[in-house]
This record gives sequence, C-alpha cells and structure tokens, in this order.
Amino acid sequence: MYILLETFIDKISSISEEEHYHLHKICEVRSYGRYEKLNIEDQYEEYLHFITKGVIRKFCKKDEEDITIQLAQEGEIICADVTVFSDQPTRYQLETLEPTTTLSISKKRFLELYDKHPGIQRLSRKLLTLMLLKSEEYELEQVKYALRDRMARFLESQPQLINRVPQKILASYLNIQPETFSRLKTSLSAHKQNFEVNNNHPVI
Amino acid sequence: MPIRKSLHEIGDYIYNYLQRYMDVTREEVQFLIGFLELRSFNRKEKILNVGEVDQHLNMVIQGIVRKYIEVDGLDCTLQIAQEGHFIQSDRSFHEQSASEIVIEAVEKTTIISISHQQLQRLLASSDRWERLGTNILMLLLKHRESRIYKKRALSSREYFMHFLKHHPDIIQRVPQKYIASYLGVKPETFSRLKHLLKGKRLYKNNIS
Repeated sequence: MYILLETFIDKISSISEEEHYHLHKICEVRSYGRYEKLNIEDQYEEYLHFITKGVIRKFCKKDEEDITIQLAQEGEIICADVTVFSDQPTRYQLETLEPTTTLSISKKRFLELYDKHPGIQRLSRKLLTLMLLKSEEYELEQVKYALRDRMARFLESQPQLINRVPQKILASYLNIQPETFSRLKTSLSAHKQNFEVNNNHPVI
Repeated sequence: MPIRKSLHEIGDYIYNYLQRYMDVTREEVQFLIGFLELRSFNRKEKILNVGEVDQHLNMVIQGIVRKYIEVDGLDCTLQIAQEGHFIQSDRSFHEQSASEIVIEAVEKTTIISISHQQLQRLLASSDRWERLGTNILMLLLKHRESRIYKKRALSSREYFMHFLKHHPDIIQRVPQKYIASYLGVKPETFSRLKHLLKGKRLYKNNIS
C-alpha cells in the first residue's frame, strides 16, 4: 500500500530510499466505516492522511449547519490543521463519507524525521507550497466563477464525487445553496443529455 | 508611523515579527536581510500586472496593498494587506507563470520583498534556512486559511464587524467599494452596515 504514497511523494519531491524507508515505518494503516470522524482519537495529536480508498471531507460547524471546506479522495492528502503554529484548537473536523482506508502519519513522528533528513525537509516545503497554491486557487474560484460555472466545472472535473458525496455536502463545498445546487444539477445534466442526443450518441 | 527607509532599520521590525512565530536570532535576521529588497510604490501604482510573472514574495512595511482579479469587467478584491501582511500571487510566483491577478498600492506604500532567485539561494544556504523558509510558508498558509475560514463561517455582518474591529483605520484608507468587494457584500449593504456601526459607536471616530 505504501507504493501509492511513494508514487504521490515522488511526483512532488525526490527523497532517498532510506528516507522512504523511514517514512514507511511511521505510516499507520487505518480503516474507517462510513460517516466516521477521524480526529476523535487524534484529539491530542495531529495527523496527515493519505487516502488509499474512500472519500473524506473537512468541515466545521456553524450554528446548526455544516460548512464543508475540502473534499479528498484516493491519491489525495487531507489534514485538519496543517500548521504547527496551532495555538488554538483545530477549527475543522474530518469525516469519512464512505468506507475509507488511509495511510496516516502523525505530525510528531514526522517532525522527528524532519529533523534528521534534508530530503524530508524539502518534501515538507514542497507539500506546503502545494497546499498554499491550492488555497489560493480556492479563494480565486469563489470570485472567478459564477455559481453556474463553478457547478459546471465541478461536474466536469470530478464526476465521480457526485455519486459518492451527499448532495447537501457537495452544495456546501461549492458554496452554493442546496436548492440552487439541485436546480443547476438538473439543468446542466439536461443540457448535456440534449447535446448527446443531438449528436446521435447513445444516452446511458 | 515614520517611514523606514533603510533595510537596516527594517531588521528590528522583521526580527520582532518573526520572533512571534518561531525561534530566530538577530544574526539570522541580519543574514536574511541580505537577500531582501525594499520597494516603494505610489498610490494606485501596480506592483504586479495581469500577464506578468510574479518575481517577488512581499510583506507590507508601510501602506496598504490590494490584490484583485477582473472577472467580466468586474473588479473583485481578493485581499487587502496592511502593515505586516504578506501579499503576492502564489501560483505565479511558485510556478513562474503569468499572473491572473493584479496587485496594486492603495496608498503610498513600502514593501519588503524577496525575489524568486534570492529565495532559492536563501533556502539552499543552509538546512536551518530550509526549515525557517518552511516555517514562513506555513505562516502564509495559516493567514490565508484564517481568511478563508472567516469568509465561509461568518455571516456578512459578522465578518464586517470582525474586519472593522481588527482594522479600525481601514475605512479612511481604502475606498469603500474595495472593502465591500473583499467582504463579499454589495456597496449598498456595506453602507448600511457602516451606518449601523456608527449608531453603535463601535469604531473610532474620524469618519465624516
């Protein structure tokens, strides 16, 4: 299973075989059912999760509502709080949306490795940079694309998630009202179907 | 606040700033300063234009800087940076690609910057700076995540109150339409909220 994480890491930054060995040693294989919270057990320890199977969402509660800020699936990483500057409790919770398996690494053990291996220091920096870029992209998406376009882009780029994530959560993630989400989904699917019919493609 | 013209004077400012978040020595800050440059901009001058590659990571030393994107002719403010805030086009800087966003000085501004080339040199100079560099990146990420959280989790009104509470002088220094855009409220809503606040005298009084 580590090979999946190894591939992921090698795309970001090359680390030595020895460093891979040490990383592998601190990976914990975890299995969760559906709608299981990840950080209940991790109350006093932060973990970074690499998903080998399943979907996890990152969310916070506001009054009675959930605000979903991130969705991650196979081959992606997710954590509740990425910074070591946490002087406050984590705002976010992590929850599985279907049966999920992860390779999880404790921040404490990772930092111990970090102290000894320059390759891992570089990897951290590059990982952080990726997260920084992703967060900038997120901010941009909110203003760059109108609701309908955000929805269309999502349907285009992550169609698998439509079937795996409850509609209410998807709507929150895209920052769209649930009713608007339903309406747009119907309208955009119909539009797509019409296009296919007109081009004599079989409608599945 | 007096305008700090020399990098040497900036040293204290940077030392005090970084010390809040990480263990760094004065000698290390002195070393860092060798990689930095001070840049000044006039009001409304562009620090980065669409299509340009962002060559700098910046921190505002004095003044106010705005980051925005134009969507269908509409100006959408992404960030308003005051003293002590970082501001750049991350994607453009890290990928060395053409920027989609614009960065401009809202008032006469001095920023301290590190160029892409100098940053690589700094990070390669020692393990220690590889790590400190990572810590600073984490700071950037923390600030942005904080912004994203507030924008999603707070109502417009709550965000407005929170924002003004933490930036009491911002209304005098930044055109209202930009603040409204940043908070994600219509200008009319912004005016209404402002008058509500005025009634409650919750912010300092220099407003006409």
